[in-house]
Amino acid sequence: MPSETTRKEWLKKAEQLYREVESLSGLEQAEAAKLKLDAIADKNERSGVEMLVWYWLGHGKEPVSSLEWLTTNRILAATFVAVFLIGWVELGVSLIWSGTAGLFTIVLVKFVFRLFDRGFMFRRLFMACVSSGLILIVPAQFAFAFETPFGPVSWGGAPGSALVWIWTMCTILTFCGAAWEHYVSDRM
Amino acid sequence: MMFRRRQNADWENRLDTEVGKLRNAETYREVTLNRIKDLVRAPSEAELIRALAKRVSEGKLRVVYRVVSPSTKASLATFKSPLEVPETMLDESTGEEIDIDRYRHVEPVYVSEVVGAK
Repeated sequence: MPSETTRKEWLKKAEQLYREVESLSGLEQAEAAKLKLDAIADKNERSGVEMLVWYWLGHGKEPVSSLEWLTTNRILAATFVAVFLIGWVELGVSLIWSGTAGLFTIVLVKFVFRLFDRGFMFRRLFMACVSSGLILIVPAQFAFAFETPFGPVSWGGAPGSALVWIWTMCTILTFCGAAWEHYVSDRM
Repeated sequence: MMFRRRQNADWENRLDTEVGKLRNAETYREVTLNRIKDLVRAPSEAELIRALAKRVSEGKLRVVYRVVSPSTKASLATFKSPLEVPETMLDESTGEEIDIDRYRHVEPVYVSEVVGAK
């Protein structure tokens, strides 16, 4: 099943094609549109884009939302520039390390965007957090310690508070993500 | 938008039902855009067209374009692409050669299989 990103790509292609041919007229418009549509290899995608463009040319296109310029790629580019400049200008880190930090950050941000795009991943991460917490923490509660002729033997005990905090934060964050996904997908 | 609620509204469920009927039809079946509008009752035609285009792009729905006589509303020809529609055609219902407006005299028809479209 195509992702939201793929669907947006179809819409973007249709909008671009519409902008390119809307000023033309008659046969010239049809020829130009046909030429652009021939570049789309997938016949279903071509048919969908063609239908949208044909409709918009005949009935006019609804106005574009002012927030549509805020695309994923632009957010990623701005993130890279911001991290790079903070590293280079403010912290005085070298060009190479600032660039690396910028790239690393946009990979992380891109990953978060992918999670939003495939929202169900939050549910899986939440389940993974709960499971890992149970696996790591519960068996450790069966703590024992005793001396043997070969030295002390011990198992478990309370986990370090840093570990518990990280686990708690991950669980809360992934739970919020899962709840958000539940809400936007109207699963209630 | 990424954070907007992706509510699958009732009209989209009705649209999916109609798309399902077309996909699972054992014999040839077709629905015009106007008929879909009546059946689905989408909030706007623009939104309905976007939803239909999405399903066409996903390969769930097939569309052909029918040239309709401006005077008698009779079907004159069917094309796989609206861009293939010629500028003039013989209107067999009146016997006259007529100018075809690619937007006003053409209607999309959603079909279970593409048969006889040029």
